[in-house]
Order: sequence, then C-alpha cells, then structure tokens
Amino acid sequence: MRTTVFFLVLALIIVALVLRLLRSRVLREKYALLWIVVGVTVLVLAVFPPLLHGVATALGFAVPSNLLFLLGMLLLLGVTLHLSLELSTLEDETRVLAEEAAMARLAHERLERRLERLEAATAAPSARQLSDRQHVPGKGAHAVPVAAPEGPGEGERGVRA
Amino acid sequence: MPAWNEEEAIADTLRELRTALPEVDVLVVDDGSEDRTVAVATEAGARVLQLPHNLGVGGAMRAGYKYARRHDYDRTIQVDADGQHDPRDILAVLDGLERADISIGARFAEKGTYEAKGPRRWAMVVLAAVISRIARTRLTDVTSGFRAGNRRAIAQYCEHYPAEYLGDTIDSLVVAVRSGLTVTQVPVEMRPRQAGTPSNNPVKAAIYLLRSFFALALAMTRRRVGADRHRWKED
Repeated sequence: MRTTVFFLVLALIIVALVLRLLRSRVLREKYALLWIVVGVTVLVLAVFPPLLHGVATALGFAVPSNLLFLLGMLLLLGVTLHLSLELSTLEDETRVLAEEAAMARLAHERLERRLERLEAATAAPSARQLSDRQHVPGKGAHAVPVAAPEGPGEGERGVRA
Repeated sequence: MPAWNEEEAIADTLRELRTALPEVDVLVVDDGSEDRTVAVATEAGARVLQLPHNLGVGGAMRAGYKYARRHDYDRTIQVDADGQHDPRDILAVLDGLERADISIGARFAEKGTYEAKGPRRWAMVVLAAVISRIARTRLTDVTSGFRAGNRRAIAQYCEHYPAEYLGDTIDSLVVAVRSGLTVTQVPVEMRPRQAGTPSNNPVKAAIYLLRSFFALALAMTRRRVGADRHRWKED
C-alpha cells in the first residue's frame, strides 16, 4: 500500500510539472504529449497495481517489473529519437538562415558602397570626370571591382567562379 | 569559391583568377573564417558572401548556388581557394557544359601528375567506378571540387547539397545524377596547394575511405530530389 501511495504522488508530481511548464510556455505542446503520456501511465499503474501484473502475465513476462523496464526504455528511446529529429530540423533551419543572412549582408554592403560612391560623385561633380568615378578617394579596402558592375542579375555575364 | 581560413592563399588565387578571366563575377563564400579571409578577399576585389558560422564545404557551396540562382546566373564553376585549380582550365571545364549539366575538372584523366596513395587512392578509384556506372559515363575524379554547372545543376544543388563532410562532393553528385542530370569530365592538371599541407596520414586516409563509402551508400538510397519536379518557392 505504501508503494502505491508513493507512485501515486510521483505520477501526480510529473503531470503537475508538465502542465505547469506548459502553462508558463517554457515547454511547447508538441514536446509535452510524450511527457503527459508518461505521467498518465504512471498514474494509472499506481492506482491499479494489478493492471501491470495482469498485462505482464498476459504477454508472458515472468517478472512484471521487466515489462515496466522495457516500457521505460522504449519510452526513453522514443524521446531521444524525437529530440534528434528536432535537432536535425533546427540545424537545417539555421543553415537556411545563415545563407539568407549572408546574402542580405552582401547585398547591403554592395548597396552601401554604391551609395558612398554616388554621394562622393555628386558632392563634387564638376571636379572630376565621369570616368574617374571609380577612383573616389577614401574608400580604401572597400574598392569595388571595376569589372563587376553593380546590380547583379545580368544573365549574359552569367559565369561565377 | 568556398573559403575557410584561407588568408594565406586566397589573395594570390583571386589575383590569378582575375588576370586569367577578367570578365567573370567572382563570389567567395566565407565559411565562418576566424582569420582575415574576408578582408583579404574583399581587397582582392571579390564579392564575399559571409556565413555567420562555419557550415562545412557543402554549406558554403549551397549558399553560393543559392546566390547564383537568386541572381539568375546561367553557369557557375566552383574553384578551390588554395590555388589547386588552374584558372586557365576554367573555360575548358565550362565548355563541358555544352554536352552535360555538370562538368567536372578531373585529375587522373590522362593529364597531370597528381598521385594519391594507399586507402585514399583506393577510395577514389572505387568511388569513381561506382559513380561512373550510375552516371553512364567515364568519371575518374568524383571528389574533385572543380565543378561547373548550368541552370539545371544550380537548381538541383539548391535542393540538395548536404553540409556534412563528403556530402559536398559525392552525395551532391550522386543525387544530382539520380535526379536525371548528366555529367561529363574534362581532364585538368591539379597543382600543389599554395598553403597548408595535404594530409597523407594513413589513419586519416582510412577514415576517409570509410566515410566516403558511407556517404556513397547513403546517397544511393536517398530519395530523388528533382530540380525540375518541385520548384523552389523563391525565383
């Protein structure tokens, strides 16, 4: 009887914890299902101890606790597999984000350099010839390749190395 | 051009590239380098796509192909940053696109003096034999990073280019072939790297062998990802 009470309390704590985490949105509900199943299973087994014994004998387990261990291991296996899957999805998503961030950054930098050049050119338009635009002073390391025009998308120069 | 911590070699490689082919657009994909790769490449006049963290060669390549697709390029060619690939061969490899979707600049193909030994060599030979069979054409160097692609190849690579080690060469190629793309090869000469040492450690070579076969086995069983079948949302 004392063990029954112990498991009952344990099951209640698990269920209460999961619900609490869910309520405070620390745990998203798609991950919570498994844990609620765990809690409820323990709860049911705690309230009806003969159930475990009955199922174990029906399935041919000599010792009922072995069924419990098997179930426990399968459950943990399921949880880890689920987490690995979620992790793979997350990695794929961060990869896409990294690509997008890199492309946005490059586009931004190119626009900024172009703007700098335009501003420098309009600040002193009479002082320099049109063909000198590429040689605006003060750009230092930001020199833009002369051969690569701004505004990508010209299909006819479509070779990239 | 994928680059990861290549500050020593990349300036020379880019300079040589620009001299040999001034008309091409050069895109360096910086794979989260911790050294001055980005600064050096920008100074050398390349566009630099900066990945916020290291994704591996395959990750850098897919980012590059996405850039190519977004900006509507007809043809692309990937070249190593360490100067292994001679820029004078680029046009020859690109010409291979006249007869196939993917054109590989290959060592061991009559030309060149490249020598690999031990397990690494066996791996390359077996991989080449297996992939040649699938592609129904003779390929001698399937792990080559000197590869050109047309629009179909670019779209295919955007769909499937694993970030994992060896996924960048074997896996992407096998899945592309299984998805119906054609491959050809052009013999080229590979030069010794300009910086860094190639690994000749037998243990590493053996690991390379195992991993490459694993990558091949995985790629063989993968579902086909058709570049034509489901188009990407963007474009």
